[in-house]
Amino acid sequence: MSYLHASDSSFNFAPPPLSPRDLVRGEITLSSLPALYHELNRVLETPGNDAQDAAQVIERDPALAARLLALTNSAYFGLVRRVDTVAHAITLIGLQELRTLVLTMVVVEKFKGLPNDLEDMTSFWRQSMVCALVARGLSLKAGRASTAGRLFSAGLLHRVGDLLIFRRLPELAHQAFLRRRDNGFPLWEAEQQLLGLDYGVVGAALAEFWRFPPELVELLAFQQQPAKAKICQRHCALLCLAVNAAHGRDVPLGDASWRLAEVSPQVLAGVRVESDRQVAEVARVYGISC
Amino acid sequence: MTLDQLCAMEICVVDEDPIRAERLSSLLRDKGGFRSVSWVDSQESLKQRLTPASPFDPPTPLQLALLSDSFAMGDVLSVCRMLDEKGTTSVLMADEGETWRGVEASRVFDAGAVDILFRPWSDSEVVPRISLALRVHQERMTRRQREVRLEEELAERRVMEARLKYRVGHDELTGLANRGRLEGVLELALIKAQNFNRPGALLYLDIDQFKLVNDTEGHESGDKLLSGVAGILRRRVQPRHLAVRIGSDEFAVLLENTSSTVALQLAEDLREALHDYRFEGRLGCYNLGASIGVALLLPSEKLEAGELLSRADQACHVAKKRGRNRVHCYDAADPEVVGLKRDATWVPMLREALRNGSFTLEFQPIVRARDGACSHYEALIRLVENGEMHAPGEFIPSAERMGLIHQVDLWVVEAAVDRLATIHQVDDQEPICMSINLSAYAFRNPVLMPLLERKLEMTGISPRRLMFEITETAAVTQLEQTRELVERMRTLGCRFALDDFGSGFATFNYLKHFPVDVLKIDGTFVVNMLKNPTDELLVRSMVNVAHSLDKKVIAEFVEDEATAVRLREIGVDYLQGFYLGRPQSQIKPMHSPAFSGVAAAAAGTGS
Repeated sequence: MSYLHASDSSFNFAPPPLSPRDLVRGEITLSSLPALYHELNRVLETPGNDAQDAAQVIERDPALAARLLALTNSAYFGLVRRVDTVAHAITLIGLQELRTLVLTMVVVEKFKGLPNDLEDMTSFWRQSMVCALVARGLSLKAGRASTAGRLFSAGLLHRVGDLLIFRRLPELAHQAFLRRRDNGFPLWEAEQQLLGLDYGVVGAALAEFWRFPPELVELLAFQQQPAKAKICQRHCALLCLAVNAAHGRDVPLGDASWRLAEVSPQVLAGVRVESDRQVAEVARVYGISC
Repeated sequence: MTLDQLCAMEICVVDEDPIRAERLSSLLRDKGGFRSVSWVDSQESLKQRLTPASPFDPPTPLQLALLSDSFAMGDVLSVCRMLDEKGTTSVLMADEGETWRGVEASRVFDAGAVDILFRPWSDSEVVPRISLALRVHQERMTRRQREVRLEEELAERRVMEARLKYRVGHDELTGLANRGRLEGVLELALIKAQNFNRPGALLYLDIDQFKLVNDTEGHESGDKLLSGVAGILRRRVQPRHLAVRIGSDEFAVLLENTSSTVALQLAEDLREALHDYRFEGRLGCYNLGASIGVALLLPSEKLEAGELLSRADQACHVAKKRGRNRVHCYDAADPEVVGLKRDATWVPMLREALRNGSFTLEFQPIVRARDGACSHYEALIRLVENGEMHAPGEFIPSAERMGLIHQVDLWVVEAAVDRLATIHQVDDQEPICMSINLSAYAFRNPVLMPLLERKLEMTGISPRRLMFEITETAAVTQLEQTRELVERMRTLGCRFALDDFGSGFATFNYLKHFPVDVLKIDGTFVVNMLKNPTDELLVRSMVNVAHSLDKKVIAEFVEDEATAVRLREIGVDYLQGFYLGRPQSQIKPMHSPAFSGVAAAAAGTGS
């Protein structure tokens, strides 16, 4: 009897539903990051290493080094003195923030040239950049300066999952797009309904695959439902507000995000205005046209 | 793996004692023939050996690391793990002793090492063990590659499956669900409606102007129009409902858990939205319209998915028939629906009959009134289905509606002429003639005349022996075209009769110019003639008109002797009816016993 039961269940094989990991796995060329990022990670993870060690790694890629310097000297950091060595820049930014900044640069570099029929890439990256700046601004206003860089990265990459979805499931992505347009659903909800996953979780899977810090993975995964976050609920809430602001949607005042983020709509409005001023310059640093 | 490949593999000795390392290296080079054996003296330099010069270079290959256990145990294990991650297999070298036995050894193997070499070793033993380790390494790599590839493939497959599943269930052009998907969902909806008392409705939409746009503007515009319609449906229909493109310009909306009033309201909204939609084509602007049929899913009713779909379709058909741009809710009693249903049962039977020849002809005698001579028969079509005989009145309307009437006409002509050809002609008797009924659509049939000509030529039958009948109403409504057909047939030598003459109550004026030979008085006048003086008067006047125009007259429905006698008195030329002979499958030339005179008729009433 037990034998029969066992064989029954083994015949009852149903293929597992599509998971975010599946989207990440198949596309190995897109999903792999340059060794430089991993090496930087290793350097930063090794205790006792300092800015000098990190600078050595970064200087091996002159384009990246130039970008990092440009960013450090931009309005984004608002430094008084001009910084002209990578090591100096890293000391000012801090090693942890350096990691996320390099990370976003590497990812944006990888994805920015990706052709795509579904959405205008210029507006895609502009939206991402606005989101990044608003998230960072909110973080600074909320007195979380230490995590501003991480929120910036999360904002910039908040829809990186969509790039994978567009590429691998074009028909479904198109359908989700139509559902957003015609039924007025937010894109992530339309994607959830149609694909059973959305750009947030796909982005999180990608981030996990790239071995991003766990906070960043969580930020991407719960960018729309901060209440579900475990490690950094408040940051998730800040990101959630930034994402919705960048998408031109108002988060209702009763929403949990406001409470978790501990910021007021007035603060968000101020940050929004400020970010509009910075967006062109920072985008240029990243090599994004917008 | 060839020996050469094995010898080319990268081996690195990790030992801080240079003499020991050098001895092992040269042993491997000289005795083992391994060509690339290197040496590093610390963990750090090992890491450097593994790191590529530039971050964008591929990692430097290293197949085997021979680790001396001179550093702390935890370190050995972590180095083993690190090497394993990078795809390097390690072999531990340790001094003979109590360490690296039992549990410790097993932890080393768990960390990815494949062997432990204890010093002092015999030279002859080392080479084969290193070879073995390299082979194990190769196996491991192959397995890992396979695993990775398999996982990639599985992921790829799941992605493709998701896309395929989507494509199978959706219409490519509009992105709406397709018919297959609707059928699946419909099954579920029906179960829900019946078991959980959730009513619903199925709307069937037909875009009224689509054909016009598609034909005048081309398919591209047609496709654009359809996408526009799909957009309207998507906006108006909540996602919990299902909007479907059934095919060409037909759409459907399945509303679940929705009361009939709400469903009808939505249908009305959709109709209005589609009516307001102006499609900008290249050649101009088009106003759309939609005929919407509604079929309700009622908990009280047990229905199949296909039935519900066809109900909605039929309701849509009714909406179209009643003037388009309207919503119609299915009602089994709609006359259009009844007609459709009849067609639906008749059409397959008719097709089958045309294919297998289950049509048959019956022949009813037409008797000359003057002397009772019978040399003329009317051929009447019958459909035999399971031994049951159906009269033309049952199936001809369906054949006309469904476009099968031409084929039926052709069959009748062919079969009648064939039958006529088989009749043995006795010299001293009048040749047998035959009346053949044509449908009202006969003049549109391009094959009819050629077929008739060919048939006459093949059988050698005199065209005089054929008489075609067409109803007066059909002739009058399409006077010009019918006249043309009649003229062509008469040029051939056939005769022509107007059937059911008088039933249309048309003016007789057209008769002056209408080239028929015979008028066949509608039987309804004849049946009651004896009781109803008006009918008799009408018959008389019809006979007068016919004779004055030099046409013969046939009276049908002659059911008793008295009528026959009266008709003869009036001057009718030919009589036809049950009294003179019922339709029968055989043609029997006869001198009608029923009509050889009054006395004979009185004696032969039993016929």
